[in-house]
This record gives sequence, C-alpha cells and structure tokens, in this order.
Amino acid sequence: MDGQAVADFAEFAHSRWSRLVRLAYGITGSREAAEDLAQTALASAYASWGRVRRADDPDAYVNRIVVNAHHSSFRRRRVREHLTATPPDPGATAPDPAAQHDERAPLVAALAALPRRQREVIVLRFWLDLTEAQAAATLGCSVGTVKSQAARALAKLRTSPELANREAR
Amino acid sequence: MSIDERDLAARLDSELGTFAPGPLPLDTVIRRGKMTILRRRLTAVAAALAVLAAAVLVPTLIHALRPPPPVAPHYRVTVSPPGPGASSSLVARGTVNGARWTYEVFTGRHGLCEKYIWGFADCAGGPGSVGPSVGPGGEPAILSGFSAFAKPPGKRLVRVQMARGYVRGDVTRLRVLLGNGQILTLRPTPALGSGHGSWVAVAVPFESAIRKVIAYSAQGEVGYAIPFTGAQTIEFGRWLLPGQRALPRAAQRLIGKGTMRGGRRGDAWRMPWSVRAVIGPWGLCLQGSYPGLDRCLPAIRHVWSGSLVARLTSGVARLNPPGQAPRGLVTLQLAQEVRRLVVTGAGRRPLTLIPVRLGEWQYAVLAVHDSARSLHWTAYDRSGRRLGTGRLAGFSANWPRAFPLG
Repeated sequence: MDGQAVADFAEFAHSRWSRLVRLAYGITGSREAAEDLAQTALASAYASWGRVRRADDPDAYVNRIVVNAHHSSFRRRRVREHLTATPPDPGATAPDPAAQHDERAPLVAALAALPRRQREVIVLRFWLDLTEAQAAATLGCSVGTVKSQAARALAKLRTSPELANREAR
Repeated sequence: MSIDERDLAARLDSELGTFAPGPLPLDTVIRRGKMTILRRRLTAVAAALAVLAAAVLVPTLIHALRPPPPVAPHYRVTVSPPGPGASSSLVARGTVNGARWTYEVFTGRHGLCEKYIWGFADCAGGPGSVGPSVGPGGEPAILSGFSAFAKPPGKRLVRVQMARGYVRGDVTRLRVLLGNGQILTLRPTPALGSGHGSWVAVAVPFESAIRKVIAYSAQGEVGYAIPFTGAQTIEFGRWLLPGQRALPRAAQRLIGKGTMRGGRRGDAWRMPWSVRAVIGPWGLCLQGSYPGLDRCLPAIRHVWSGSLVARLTSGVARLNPPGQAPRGLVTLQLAQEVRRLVVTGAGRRPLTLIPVRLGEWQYAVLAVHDSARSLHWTAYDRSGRRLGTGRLAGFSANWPRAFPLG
C-alpha cells in the first residue's frame, strides 16, 4: 500500500473509530470486546482497502465486519465448550462479556440480557438508524427477520428488570 | 416511529453517545491488517505450492511470519516561516509528504483575501476590509481549517487540509501536535502589516492529524485547544487555560432528522436531512448531513439562567435545491426540564419537538422557511405541565445573528 493509501486509510480509521467502538459496545456490553471488534473491523478494512474505499458504502462494510466478528467470537466460545472433555470448572469458564457487572449504563445492561440477534437489531436499527433493509443486509438475514427480532426485543425491553431496577434507584 | 421506539433511540443515543472509547491504536490496526494480508497470501501460496518440498519453503515462511515492526501513521509535515526576500503577504510555507504548499493573506479591492498554492485567491468583505485582530482579553488565536491543495514535484495537485488564522498580540508561537508524533512550531507573521493580527498556517494530510495546539507568549504557555475534526472540518472552538482539564469528554448524538419537501406536482422534491451534535473540549459542534450545515460554537451554554429555549447562534443553514423556495434548519438549545416543545404559527400544523439530551443540555432542530413569520413555542415538562411560551422570530438568509428567547 503506498503512502497516500495509508494516509487515506488512517483518515478513514480515525473518523470511524468512535462510532465502531460504540456500535460494538452496544452489541457486546463490554469495553474490551468492543474495542477489539472495532480493531478487527478496521484491520479487515485495511487488508481490503482498495475494495473498501471504492465501495458505495464503506461504513456498511465495517459494520458487517463488526457483526460478523462478534458472531465468530460467539462460535469460538461455543466450540471451546464442546471440546472440553469434562464439565468445565465454573470458575475457569471464560466470562461472558455480555453478562458483566452493573457499572454499565442501564439500557446497555438491559441489552446484554437479550439474545445476540435481538441486541444487534436494536443497535443497528435504533442507534445507527439503519433502515430495515440496511440492517438485514448487515446481518445477512431477511427484512422479516429484522422486523420480528426488533418486535421481540422491544417487548422484552419494556419489561426488562434491568431497566426497572436501575430507574427505581 | 412510535413513542417507545423514539424513546429507545434517544436513550441509546444518550448511553452510547456518552460512552468514550479509548484512542485509536492505529499501528496495531495496521499491523493486524498486514497479518491478514499475509495470511491470505500464505493460504494462496500453500495451495499453489503444496507439492513442493517443505525444506525449500520453510525458511521463507518463517521470515514472512515474523510480525512487522510497529508503524506510525505514514505522513510527514513540514512548515517554515516566509524567510528573507519572500512576499510580504506570505504567512508560511511547507510540505505534506513532499507536496509543497504556501499560504498568503492580503487585502485589496475584493476584500480580505487568502491565497494558497492553487494560484487564485478567495476574498471576502469587499473593498475597505481590514485585517482582523484579537484584543488583549481574547483567545490566544482564532483558527479554523479548510480544504486546500499542495503540489508534489512533477505530479498533479493533491488535497490537503489547512489550518490557519491569526493570533493575539502577545502570542509569539504556536506548537502543533500531530497524530504521527510530530510537533511543529508556527511563528506568527504580520502579513497584513502592523496594527493587525499576525497570521499562522499549517497544512496536514487529513483533518484528524492535528491533535492539539498550544499557544505561548514570551512568558510561557497561555492556553491550548483541541480541535473538532470531521470531513473537511478543523475547528478550534474553544481555548483552555494551561493545565485545565480537556472537558467535557467527547460525546455526540443525533439531535434531529427529517425530510424537506417542496415544489408542485411534476416538480416536487424531497431532501432528507439530519443534524448531529458533538461536544468535547472544543465546545459544541453541529454536523449536518449536507455541506453548510456544520457549525462549531465555542461555548456550550447558551441557555440563560431562567430561560427555557435559546436559539444557538448557528444561523439558518439553507437546505433547498437550486431554484426552489428556501428552507432552512435552526438548532435550539433547551433547558433540562423541557420534555416537549410545541411550535405553532405561520400557517403550519403544530409541530412537537422532543429535545435530545447531550451532556448538560438538550437540543432540537427545527426546519423553517427563510421568510417565515414568527413562530411560537410552548414548553412542557415531564408531567405535561406547561413551563412557558415564547417566540421564534422570522428568519432570513442573512444569518447568523442571535435571538435569545424564553
């Protein structure tokens, strides 16, 4: 990659970093996981920079990487558990970053209690402001799935004990 | 969008918008990106050369697998004062990755003009314009950025981002800290002659390269500024005192969006718009979805004590296709207790604005006609109790000017 391309990528990375970390934080509920997912997305963009910068929507590309990288980390955790010969010692189990302490903001904590796909739909639709079609393209699913997942997520959030407990303080 | 969904969007914006990520580890990202490229190439090589003897390949692969050294952002910037024999209007010159730039200011029959390497000047103010200056009680420097060009030897012009402006009388130098680790020293030049502010200029490859500017007098540091940067934007909205904490922490939220519509059948047009507020050590900046909507305001507090609503001195950002009746956007700052603002008047249906909170204040964006008669607002609190009323005066295209309300 020549100097100008690296400079262009650096500009892209600087301008997208905060948004990508916040997107990943909404999905994972963990600062560390969020920054790692954002790094992964930008590293992937670097590796494909020629294609990314010519794309109609480079942001959609990195959004997809964040979501896919999150899926990959979930799959890796599941595989690790299956490969364990004996039931893992609870203390040795890798902590689920989405089920952490309660120092997170209330809504982020409530999101962490949702299934992964519902969490992703909520963050993509209501924070990133993607349309249903855009969210479906990012998640690799149908518009109907986005609608149904959003409806279920909203129903759960309305009765979320996490939100009720925090707001009662 | 139902109230539930709007509430959710607002809360998500509040919680995620105020979540402050750490700094971008650019060298780590690039290193990981290079490892990804290497893995892809190794996969291709392994597939194509699977039949070759491993003893031949192993040394090459081991060398290729060694992680590359950490890399700093790949750019180099230089800046130097005019030097002997230079034109009196020359403020500074330098290079960006070897591409040369210059910056000049002068006054003439077209007003106050600035000229960069491209060869023609941008002028404003008309004949009789005088050079600006900063009074003794003012900020150390008035700086802002714009998109310019530089000339690499033997090649076509390349785009750079230039930050320039003028300094207070006691400021003898500015230090500019760049993201690649470079620290540049800018020496103010009295390009417009004595009695006017001395000017500085520097060009960088992209907006976010400038991380901080520190101003010095003969007695030492007098202040520093952290710029707000965005697409073709470098704004130094606020100067902090030496040692003052760089607050508030950076946060942003979408504070308004909608669709402008106009025209008649066969000639109808619609234009979606959105405005995002970004707060940080630079003050408050508004980013719009179209050029011309961006503004930076040095002070975050605009709502006077006891006031409910203030119109930010951002002017009306015109938003309409050429030849169409003008439309514009006005950004409002609202007190914390306002939960709902209903705007009426000028023949429009009542419009309810739900303010969006960012940091200490709330914001809302209102689409208006340039020639609209006065609009009236009524503010309500959380329980629906009326807090007060006020007037939004008529608008024209000749903004900015301030309209304190409430």
